[in-house]
Amino acid sequence: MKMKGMLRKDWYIFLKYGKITAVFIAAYAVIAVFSQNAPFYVVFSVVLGALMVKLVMAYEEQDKWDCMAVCLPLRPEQIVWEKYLESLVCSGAVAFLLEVATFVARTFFSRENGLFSPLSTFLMLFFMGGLIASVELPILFRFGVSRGRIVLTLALMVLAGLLAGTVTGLWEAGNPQGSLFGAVSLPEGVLTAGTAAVTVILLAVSVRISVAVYKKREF
Amino acid sequence: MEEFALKIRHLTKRYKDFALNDVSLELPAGSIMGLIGENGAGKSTLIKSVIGAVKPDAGEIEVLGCDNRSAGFTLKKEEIGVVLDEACFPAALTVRQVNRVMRDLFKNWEEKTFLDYAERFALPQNKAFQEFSRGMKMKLAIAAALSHRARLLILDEATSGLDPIVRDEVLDVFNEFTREESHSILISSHIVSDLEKICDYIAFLHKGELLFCEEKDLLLERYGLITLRRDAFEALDKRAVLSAHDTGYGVQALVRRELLPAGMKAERAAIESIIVAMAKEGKK
Amino acid sequence: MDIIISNTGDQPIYEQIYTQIRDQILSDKLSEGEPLPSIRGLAKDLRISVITTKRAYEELEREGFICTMAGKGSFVAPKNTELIREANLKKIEAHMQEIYELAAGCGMEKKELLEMFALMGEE
Repeated sequence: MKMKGMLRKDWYIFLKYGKITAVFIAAYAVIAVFSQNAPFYVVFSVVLGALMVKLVMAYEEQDKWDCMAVCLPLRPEQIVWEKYLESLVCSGAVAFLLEVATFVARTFFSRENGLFSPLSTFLMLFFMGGLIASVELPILFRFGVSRGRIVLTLALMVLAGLLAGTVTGLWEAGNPQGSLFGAVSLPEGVLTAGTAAVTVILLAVSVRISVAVYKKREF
Repeated sequence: MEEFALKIRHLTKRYKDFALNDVSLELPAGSIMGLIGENGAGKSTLIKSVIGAVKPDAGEIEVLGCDNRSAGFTLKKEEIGVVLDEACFPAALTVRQVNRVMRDLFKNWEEKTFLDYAERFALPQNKAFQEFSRGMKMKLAIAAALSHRARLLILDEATSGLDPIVRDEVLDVFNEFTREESHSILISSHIVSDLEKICDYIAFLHKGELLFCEEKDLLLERYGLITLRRDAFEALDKRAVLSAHDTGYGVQALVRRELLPAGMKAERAAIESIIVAMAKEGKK
Repeated sequence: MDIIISNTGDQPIYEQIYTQIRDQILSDKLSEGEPLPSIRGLAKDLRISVITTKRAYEELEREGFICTMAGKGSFVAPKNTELIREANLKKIEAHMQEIYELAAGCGMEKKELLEMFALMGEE
């Protein structure tokens, strides 16, 4: 119920300010599936998707809603969880968008970029979003958006570099016939499950850190 | 019902260049307390400590009988309406959207009450309120604070920046709120005259110290204003005089009535002049 | 019931309420058993502190002008002739004090005052 209310509020903010970012994400998704340099754009749109939460939080902070939220009957955990939930929703949406774009490219333009095989890639992208959220949110909950943005930018640059490197490496090794996971000899299912496990653990740790730092936060 | 809506004991919060120092006060249930002090006196720090947005270095705070550090405080917040100076809803939202959000956030949210207040305060329903004036934002926050069956209102500078007509309207609403015996208000302002009329208690913060927390009537009774010739003034017990102003034709002084010579009558002083005199003196 | 609060002057607000209600009881404008507004209601209507009104009511009750029943509110108490006499005596005393001060101000002596008063009775 409370979660619904907060998500609803974020949705309203998104409707007001998020549309341009959404257009950019969509554009990158389209470029990604037609581009020679697919991994770069894929990672870019996923990062952008994960940053949607930061955008919303920036507007909240500007109006000092973060302070107002303390006055409402919300547990600190609820306030923290809501942003994680939102991050995952955003990542899911971006991953879904990329899947659709790939499907369209494959079906109507006969483009085969080798990057996308349906379920495992969807999950992979989704987990990338989760990974970014697990790094991003503790920083935002600790410092707030305006004070945290420098730390955040550094962290995200490193993270995005790592992600792009990994994805590119996997892709190139597996190209041209293979899927994203072609380079690895493990079965796709095992690999996806492994990534899922790592992301879930990271998220769980991240949530705990966020709750702890948020409880100490002053406004 | 608990005896006190708010109990603060030895609240201390230190910042680099400012400290709220050992503040204790009690707000009896059913009454209105005005928290007065110039900008930077510590009013916002005190109020934020009460709702938990600032973590005190020392001291205890009990709100509606609940320790504000306990886990149960989250639930208590259902019964507390807060209006903060500047802090508000995300400005992207419209009044209607605020209503929909709050409906999910408060168990006792009363849609009709909220929309009635919005109408009474002449707030446009479908306009994102980033375009609202400060006064309108305040009114929106007040409307929200009054729409979830709160028993305690905590208002930080909720009347400042409002034009006089609106301010009167808002004070009327607060006055009505406390018609209910279990309803209490803590309201801060740097403008004394805003609060003087409706308050039962006046707490005065000065540079992080609570100089007094007193029944308003007692203050008015204890202090008075006299105007007399200079020689008569010189003859007064100096301890009786809080502040004096030589007009050239005589002296006007704020005095403690009890220390005046028998039979000498003092006029009623404004709370504001009592407070200004005390602030200058810096001590009780 | 009329209560007019003046914010200027020396008389404390609780005293203004006390005096005005008392006078209306004494002059039979408020009759025995008539309910008075609740303390909180009156305070809010007059936009004054609840404590002030409470104090006025307490004073009225102590002097026997009203009685308060828990949960029911306050009512005008049965008239007590002794009480009324006493209240009137107090009033007279207050007026006399004023007369005395006025007279002293223009240098009249007690004898002159008494003469004036004697004449008043004959008219």
